[in-house]
Amino acid sequence: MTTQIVPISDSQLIFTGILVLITAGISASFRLGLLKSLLWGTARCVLQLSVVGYALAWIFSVNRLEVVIPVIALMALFAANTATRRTPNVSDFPTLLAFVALASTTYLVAVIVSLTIIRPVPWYESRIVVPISGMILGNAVSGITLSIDRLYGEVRSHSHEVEALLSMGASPWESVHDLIREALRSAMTPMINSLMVVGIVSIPGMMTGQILGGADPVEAARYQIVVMLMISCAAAVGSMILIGLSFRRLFTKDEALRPNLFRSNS
Amino acid sequence: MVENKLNEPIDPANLNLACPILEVSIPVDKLRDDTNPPHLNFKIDKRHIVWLLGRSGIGKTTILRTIARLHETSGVSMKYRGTIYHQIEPRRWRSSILYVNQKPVMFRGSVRENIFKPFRLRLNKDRIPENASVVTLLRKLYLSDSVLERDAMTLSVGEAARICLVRALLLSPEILLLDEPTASLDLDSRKAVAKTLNEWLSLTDSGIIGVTHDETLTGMAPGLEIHLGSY
Repeated sequence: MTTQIVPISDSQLIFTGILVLITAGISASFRLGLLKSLLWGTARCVLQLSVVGYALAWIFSVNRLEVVIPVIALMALFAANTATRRTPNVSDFPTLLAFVALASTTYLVAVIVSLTIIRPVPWYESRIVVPISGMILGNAVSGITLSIDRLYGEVRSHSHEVEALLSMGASPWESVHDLIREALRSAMTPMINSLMVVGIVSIPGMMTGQILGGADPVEAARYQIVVMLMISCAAAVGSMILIGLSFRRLFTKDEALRPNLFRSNS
Repeated sequence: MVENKLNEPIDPANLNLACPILEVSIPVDKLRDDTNPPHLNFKIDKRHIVWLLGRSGIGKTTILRTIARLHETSGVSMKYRGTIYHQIEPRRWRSSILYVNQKPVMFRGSVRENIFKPFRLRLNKDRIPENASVVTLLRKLYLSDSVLERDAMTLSVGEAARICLVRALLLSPEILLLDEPTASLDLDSRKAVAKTLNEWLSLTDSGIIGVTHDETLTGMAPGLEIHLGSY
C-alpha cells in the first residue's frame, strides 16, 4: 500500500484527445454520422465529470450530515428521472414513487453499510457515504426499472388471469401476487448472476479504480465484496418498495384492471 | 314489503332478501347498433335465466363485464338485493356475481390446483369444497376424475371451458355470468352443460345471465331472451 496514486496533470489530460481523434476518424471514414454526437458527448463528459469532481471536493471538505442528506436526495431525484426512460411497458411511470423508493433504499442501505461494516468516523463521512450512495442508486435504478417494467408487461400479457382472479373474489394484491413475484425475480436475477461471475469475467469498475488509485488489490477486493452484496440488497429493497407503492395504480378505484394499461409509451 | 334484516351478521348486512337478486340498467347507446333503446333494463331473481342474444360484436360481452364491474361502470345503475352496487366492496360483488370468460382461463399447475385456486383467496378460504362434490360435477360434464392430475396447459379448449364452469359452480355464486359457455363444445357436452346448469339452479337460489348463440342451450335451459340490436 506504499504505492502512490499517479496524478493526471492538465497537459496529460489533453492527450486523451488522441483517443477522441481515433474515435472520430472511425466515425468519419465509415460515414457513421456520429461526429457531432461524439464531440458533444466528449464535451459533456469533460464538463460533467469536472463539475462532479469539484462538487465532491467541496462536499468532502464541508463533511456535514445536513449536506450529505440533500446531496443523496438530489442524486435519487436524477436517478428517478432516468428510470422513466428505461420502462417501455409503463405508460405513466410514477416518478415520485420511484424517487421515494430510491431515496429510502439508499438511506437504509447506506446507513447499514456505514454503521456496521465500514464504520468511518464520523459515521456520515461523506468521502465514504456519497460514493457508496451513488453505487447503491445506480444499481437500485436498474432493479426498480426491471421490476416495474416486468410487472406491467406481465399484467398486460396475463390480464385474463388477473381478471379471472378478481372475478373470483381476489383483492387487487391477490390478483397480481404471482406476477409481482415474477417482477421481483427479474430485478434480482441479474444481481445474483453478477455475484457468481464477478472477478472471473471482468474486474468491476470500482475495484479497477481503486487499484489505479494505488490501493492494494487485496484491500480493493474486500471493498468490492461489500459493494457487490450492498447493490444486490439495494436492488431487492428498491424493487420491493416501488412495487409495494405502485401496484395499486394498475387498478381503478373499483378494483378493476385499468383499461389504459394496454398502451405502451414509445 | 321492505323488510330490513339489519341484525344479520353477513356482510353487507342490510341486503334485502325480498328484493330481486339483481336489478340492472345499463346504457347501451354506446353499442355499435343505434337501433337499441338507450338503456337495457332487466331484473333477475332466483332460478331465473336471462339470455342475451344478438350477432357478434354488438357488445354482449361488455354488458357481462360491466355487470361484473370489470368494465367502466359510468351511467350504469345496478342493485344487488336492493343495495346500490357502489356500496358493496368490488371483491364481494364479484364473488357473488361471478363472470366466466368466454376464453377459458387456466393458471399454471394441475387441474386440481386450478379448481382450488379461488379457495386460496382470503374471501373464499372458509368454504373449500369437498373432493366428492368436485368429482360429481366433473362427471356430470363428461370429465373423468383423472383430469384433476393433468397439467392445465395440456387441456383442450373444450375441456378447459368445462373445468372453468366447474370452478365457477363450486364458488356457488348468486348470479353466474356466462359468456358463451358452450362455444367450443360438441353436442353431447352442450347438453351436459345445459342439464348441469338446470340442476344447479334447482338446487340453489341462484340465477344466470348468459351470452350465447347456442340454440341447444337456450332450448334446454330456457330463460328470458333479450335480443340486442333487433328492437
